[in-house]
Amino acid sequence: MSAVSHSRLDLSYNDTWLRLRNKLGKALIYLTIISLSLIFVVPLLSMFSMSLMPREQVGAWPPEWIPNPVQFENYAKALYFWNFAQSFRNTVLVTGLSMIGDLLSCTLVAYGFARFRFPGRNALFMVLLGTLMLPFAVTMVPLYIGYNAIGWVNTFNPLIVPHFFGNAFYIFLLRQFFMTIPEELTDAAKIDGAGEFQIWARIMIPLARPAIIVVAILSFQTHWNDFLGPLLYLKDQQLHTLAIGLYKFQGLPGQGSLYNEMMAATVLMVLPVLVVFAIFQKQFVQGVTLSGLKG
Amino acid sequence: MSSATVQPLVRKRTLNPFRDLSPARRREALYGFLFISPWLIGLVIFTLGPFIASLILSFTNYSILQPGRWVGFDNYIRAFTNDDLFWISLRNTVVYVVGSVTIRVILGFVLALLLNTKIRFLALWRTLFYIPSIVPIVATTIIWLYVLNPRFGLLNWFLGFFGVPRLRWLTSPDTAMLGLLVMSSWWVGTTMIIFLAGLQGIPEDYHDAAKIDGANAWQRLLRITIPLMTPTIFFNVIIGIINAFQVFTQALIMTNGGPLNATRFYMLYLYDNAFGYLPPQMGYASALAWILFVIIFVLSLVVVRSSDRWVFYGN
Amino acid sequence: MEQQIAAFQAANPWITVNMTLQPWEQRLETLLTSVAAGDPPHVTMLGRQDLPSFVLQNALTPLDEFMERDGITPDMFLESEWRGAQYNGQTWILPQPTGGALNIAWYNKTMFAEAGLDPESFPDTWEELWEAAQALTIQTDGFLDRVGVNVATTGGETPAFIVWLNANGGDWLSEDGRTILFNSPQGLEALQFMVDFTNEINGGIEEVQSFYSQTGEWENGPFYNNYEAIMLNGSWALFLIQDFSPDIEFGIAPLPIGPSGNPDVRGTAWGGWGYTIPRNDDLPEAELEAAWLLTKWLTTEIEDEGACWFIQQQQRPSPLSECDGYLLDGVTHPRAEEILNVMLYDRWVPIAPIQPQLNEVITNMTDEAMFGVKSAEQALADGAAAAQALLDAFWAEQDAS
Repeated sequence: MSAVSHSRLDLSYNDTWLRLRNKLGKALIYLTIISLSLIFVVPLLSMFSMSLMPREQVGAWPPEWIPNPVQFENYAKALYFWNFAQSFRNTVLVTGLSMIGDLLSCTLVAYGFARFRFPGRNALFMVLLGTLMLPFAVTMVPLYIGYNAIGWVNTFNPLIVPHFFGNAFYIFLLRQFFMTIPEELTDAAKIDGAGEFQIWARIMIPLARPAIIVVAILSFQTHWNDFLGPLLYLKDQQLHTLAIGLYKFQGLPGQGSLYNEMMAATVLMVLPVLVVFAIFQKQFVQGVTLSGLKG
Repeated sequence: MSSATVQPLVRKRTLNPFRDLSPARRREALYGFLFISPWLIGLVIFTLGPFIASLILSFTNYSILQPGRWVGFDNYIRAFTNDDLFWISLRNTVVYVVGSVTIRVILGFVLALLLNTKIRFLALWRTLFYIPSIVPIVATTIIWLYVLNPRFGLLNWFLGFFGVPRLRWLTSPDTAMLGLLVMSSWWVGTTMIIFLAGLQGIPEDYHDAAKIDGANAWQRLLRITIPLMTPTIFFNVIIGIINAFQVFTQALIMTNGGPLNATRFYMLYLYDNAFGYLPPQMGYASALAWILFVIIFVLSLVVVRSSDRWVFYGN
Repeated sequence: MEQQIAAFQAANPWITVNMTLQPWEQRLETLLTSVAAGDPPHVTMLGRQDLPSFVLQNALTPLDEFMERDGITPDMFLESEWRGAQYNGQTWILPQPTGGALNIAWYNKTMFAEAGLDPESFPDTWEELWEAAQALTIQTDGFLDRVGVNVATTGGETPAFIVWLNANGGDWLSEDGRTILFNSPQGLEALQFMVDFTNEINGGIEEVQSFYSQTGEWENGPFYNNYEAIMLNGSWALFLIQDFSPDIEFGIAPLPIGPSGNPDVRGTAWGGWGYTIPRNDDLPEAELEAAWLLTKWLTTEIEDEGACWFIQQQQRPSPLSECDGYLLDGVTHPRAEEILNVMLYDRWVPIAPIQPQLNEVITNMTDEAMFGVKSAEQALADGAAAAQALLDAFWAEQDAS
């Protein structure tokens, strides 16, 4: 952009040209965004539409988008023939109990790290962060052997109990939050004679509600979607969660079942997460952002 | 927040650090430990214990059906010298790591840049791009089995508009890995959101100052945005590498390592050893796990060290 | 099943039977831990695929003495079923039910007629199969519309290669489970046949897999939906066809033999089931006796509501020669005789203790040849070497301990 002065006519020509270019630029940006988002939206939409299709329509080429006729039986089949109603219940059970464990233990531990000084606190906190980098593979085999020895394989226990002992990431999130709560609030309570646990329960937890909601959302998503845990520990079909149910439904690789019924089953698993996400959008994004800020 | 106890300059080395503390502080420390005790206990039972146990296991040929015997470094030697699948799976995993991290970082960055211009409905776009990441991975594999279907899948239909013939995707050893890499772009949402947060943290003043100096958009990108974003890029790369090395579920469900071992990833091979073969090779699987751990650890260290050169903190 | 047990208890009032179902995937660990702990079930159902593992773990009670005492002899059973019950020269399980063989070619008679083939006559040799398939396979622009027969994969646990090797008169493993035998002229013929057939008639392995990605399982299976003219499967497919595609006019035939094949050996008896008594050294005599009686009842009882009755209720073939499994309420299934005739050509095939790993090697070897990565000869040789190495390592470990 040269600083040479132009006549007024030239200036307005440049101005218009600039505005046009801006508009074009904007349009291009919108276009790119829309087309890229289609890459993600279209498969999800076809999941929904395919779940209602009859078998004949599934292999249509080019692909068809409107189910014709709409076949709700796919869902009935998924729920009862393939036992998804029970898998759904199991998943709710495991997710619910694990969330309780997460929230209970992580708030306790985070409070401990945030508010109390004790020898080795920093070192232990470093260890906490370190465990985030540990690949699951390293502990997977001995954990299985151990659970097998105490008869916990083929039960829900290995999926639920460990979460009552804290989760490094949630502890980190909550600790950061607790540290922003001014000491005066707790000091006042101490003067009134409140015990430490009462302070934790009556003061810290209500104050930390925003962070707790974020943790609850993240915890829900993690446990609902968990695949490897159920794969390793749930053998009986009655214990299957939705993730394993979907996997078994699919059959041998390269020989899949037909997509219409599979998509119905998939929708059953995806819908709750989408609904929770729709309600708690902000917290989801917050959670992800926080995980980035920590880096 | 570091603990700031008042200590004499010359500190006696006490075995019991509690002794130096006043009764009030001692009480505080006790409560501290009490509150973190769930995590401490869990650390020992679920993390440290198995961590050490797997190291020990890796020196045996334990299979859950019979007690194994000590074999020293045999497992490790066998992995490196006498096991084709070890190298094949390692190579496949490295290819996947490089490919998927590159895709996710670049695509995530570009998307974040696009969303960071003053466009309307930002929240909507952000949501749309992020939703795929919250879909359970099993569900994603089923959706993508349809997308990648060689006969009537969405991807082939889409590519058809550009004149590309129907590709075999997961049914051919030549295109299977490519198919999984395309699929990995599904999870760009989380990367994008982190980049977005980082971009929004760059003060407007920098851009304004540059504009006044006559820099155009492209130069601003190269000279200001990218350097200031290097910490975020660094974070996404490290996290991406750690996660991509553990790729497993897609391979298990969609291809089970095939065709012709084209998608046999390291974690899949490890899992087969521990839970698929007869008799189960848990000792060998533990050795494989430790090799993986060391690889990831060293790689992370390398990236961290190199970050001094290219990550730009402060101003 | 419950009725069987009720009848057994009626006939033996001093015995009570509790039945529990076990999850499939944990069967090995569950059983072995219980044997080690000293309280295994008295009788358990066992897949023949698992037999070598269990015998080597010393987890089962040999049944030969009981059999001798009670007059149970091998010729009471179909030979292919019987062989699978033995390992290392001893008998460990009594077979019940059948169904562990991949031995039948179910074919669509209408398609045969349309293609100009005689619907009552099924190809007897691989050459004839080749010609028939050429007429039955329909392609458009290099894309398969209908497959005559798929020889590349079986869709089950049995590697296709072993099926074709068997039909070509070859062996894959020595009976003692220590030596790989499939790197042989019969093996090469079989593998080459599979590769050539897939490439020339079915358009190549990638097209085959792409074709089958549009079919599914159960009622969405290819044969039931007219995607295939010939389906290679076991005797249980009878009911699948009746349930899923009752309108198909289907024929039943034994598998075609290869150039080195033996007309009397066609089907591969690979798996199947039986009842066994886990080893329990502390078991009192009376309980051991009760366990044996139950096993005998479940597997050999012809009269009353025992083994034979059980199979008849399901209208399946019985491992007992005397029992006509298809006879239900005085009516024999119309197709029973055809199936039973085919089963006469079954041959039992040995199972190795490290079968999953060997299956992987064999499948990999087949794929390498199919995808053209190696010549059939090279793939065969490499596969045999890899399999032998795995076996040697296993047996070295086993013999040392």
